[in-house]
Amino acid sequence: MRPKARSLRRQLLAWLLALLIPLLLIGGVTSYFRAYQFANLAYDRSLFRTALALADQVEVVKGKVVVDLPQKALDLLEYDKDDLVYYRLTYPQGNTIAGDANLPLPTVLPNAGKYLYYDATLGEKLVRVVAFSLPLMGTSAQGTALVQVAETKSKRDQLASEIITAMMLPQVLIVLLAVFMVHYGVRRGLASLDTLQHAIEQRSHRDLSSVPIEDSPREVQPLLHSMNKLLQRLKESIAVQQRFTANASHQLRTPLAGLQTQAEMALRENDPVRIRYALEWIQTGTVRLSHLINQLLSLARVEPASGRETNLHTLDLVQIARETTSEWVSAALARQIDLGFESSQLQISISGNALMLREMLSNLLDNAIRYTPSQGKITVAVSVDGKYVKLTVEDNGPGIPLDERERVFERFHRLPESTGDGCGLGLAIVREIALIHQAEVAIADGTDGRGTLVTVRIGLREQLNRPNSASPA
Amino acid sequence: MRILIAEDDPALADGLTHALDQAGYAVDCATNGEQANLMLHDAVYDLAILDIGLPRLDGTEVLRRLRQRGSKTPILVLTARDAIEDRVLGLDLGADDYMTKPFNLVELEARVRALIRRGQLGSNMALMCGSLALDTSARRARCGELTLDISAREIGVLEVLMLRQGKVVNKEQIMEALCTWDEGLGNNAIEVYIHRLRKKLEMSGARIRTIRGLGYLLEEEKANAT
Repeated sequence: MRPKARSLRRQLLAWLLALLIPLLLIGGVTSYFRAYQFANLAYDRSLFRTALALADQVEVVKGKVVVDLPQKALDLLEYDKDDLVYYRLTYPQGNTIAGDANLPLPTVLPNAGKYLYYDATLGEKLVRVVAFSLPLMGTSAQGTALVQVAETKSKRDQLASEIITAMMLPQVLIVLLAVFMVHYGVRRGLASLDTLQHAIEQRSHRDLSSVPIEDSPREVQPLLHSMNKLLQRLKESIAVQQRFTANASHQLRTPLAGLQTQAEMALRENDPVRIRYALEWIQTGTVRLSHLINQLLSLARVEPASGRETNLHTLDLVQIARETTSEWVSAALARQIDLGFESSQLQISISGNALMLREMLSNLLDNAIRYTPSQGKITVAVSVDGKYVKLTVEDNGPGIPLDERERVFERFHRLPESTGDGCGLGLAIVREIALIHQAEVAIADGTDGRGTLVTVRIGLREQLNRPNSASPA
Repeated sequence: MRILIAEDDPALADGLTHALDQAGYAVDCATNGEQANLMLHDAVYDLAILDIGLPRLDGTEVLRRLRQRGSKTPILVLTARDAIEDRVLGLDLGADDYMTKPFNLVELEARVRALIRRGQLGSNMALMCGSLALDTSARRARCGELTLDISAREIGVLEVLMLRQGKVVNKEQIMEALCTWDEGLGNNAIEVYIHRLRKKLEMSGARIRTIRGLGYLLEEEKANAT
């Protein structure tokens, strides 16, 4: 047993989040880089313009590079509402003419007239730097002067974070929305099940009508279909049961009424002949009634609804059939019927319940003896037929009409022109026992189209079956 | 012949008493287990018919105490329950036969006769079938006053058949009874014995029937039987 039933909602969420969260993370990382790229794109230009403005102020006086920056220009240069701006003018290499000497130089110097951007650290601050190689050709100086302008990254950080927020917010919202939708969707989807549950809870145990399935989600409909089929079968089996009870009470009360009437008649009579006549009726009625009660009880015993465990063991069908047939010999002789037994094997192993198999054969023999006329012949035979064992009871009695051969297995069903005093339960018992043994029962014509041949086909137990070496007596 | 009936249902007890009384037995009746136990203790019966569901003391308990005392009185157990366990328990405790209620009176009478006969087998009682009588200790068969000329092996076969009169006796059972004489007796030998016996029993009122595929059955020949 599972410790806890799996929640559909939790499973869906788990799957969804397992997919969405990595996507969100990847999105976050790429957004971060993209945002910084955009922020740099936006601000690098103005940084470069500042560098150009600074370069404009560079003059060469007698081979010396000077920069004249009035305080106002410096203030302007260094003024920025968000960031601190630094500059450095270097000429020749490494020699700071003006500005902040701590501003790191680029690792590779740009060619004359070219510029490049890079990130650096100034003191403890992260800065963005533009380095511009100012060509000094046509002047008294030679080579290039390096103009660097740097600014801290507040603006850029702010822009980047704005971009990230703008990019990530919808994504986070989508995830949250998805979680909500799954939650809500599942609840909504299962809401019809809740309604169904209420409807079923409030049903009476007698109400076995089908559960409405049209309003249910398509995924649940197969389940409801099976449930409805089960309800249908239950309804049928209860109907069978009720019919059986109605039949049984009729079948039990009728002979009792007969007994009571005959007994009352006998008490009223003074004529010994008439009393004897009534008593004979009472005796016949009692015998029939006790046969009926015995049959009802054995049917109840073998019915699946009896709830009894049926133990199946390996047993020898030849022995069971031989012994059971022997028990019926006197009954057959009393009616001058020739009852015999045949077996192709000395022993045939099957898996079954000995008591039930005896009961089954007894019922078949009881029927055969009841309905076979005097001087008739009944033969019980056991043989192996491929993977099956055939147990047959054949008689040369009146036979069973073709259209009755299925109905005779119904409880209390008797042939319309039945002359015997059976109660109509024998073959029902036979069928129940056959079902327990996963065996088939079939009724056919006897040899030469006369009489009845009842065949029970039982699965063979895979074992060595000894062939019958001894000749039958 | 004295029979004890231990049965608490008055109608059934009365019916049984009358029937067995008419058949010539001396019948005593106990209506509960304690009474039955005392009566079986104080008197010697040729047979006791014991209901399993007796008040005060259960029938199985009466039976158990009886066998504990070493009594060999034949016991016919009556039971309304047909659970197989009950039957097995009864037979295990030493019942000689059982019948399930309701039963046929004729059959009960037949079983009573058989049990009494079996109970007296040790005391030189002859087995009877029609006018045929078999003295099991002297190993002689008579038809009326005429002693039949039957061999020892044939007597053996006849004894098995007479002990199970009216029931099917298969070849294995006959072979078992004869194995003191012959080792590995063939099927044909039995057929030969049966054939000879049939001839010798022709006028005895006893008849051996062949039951197809099952064996043989000894029965009293009915006057109207063909």
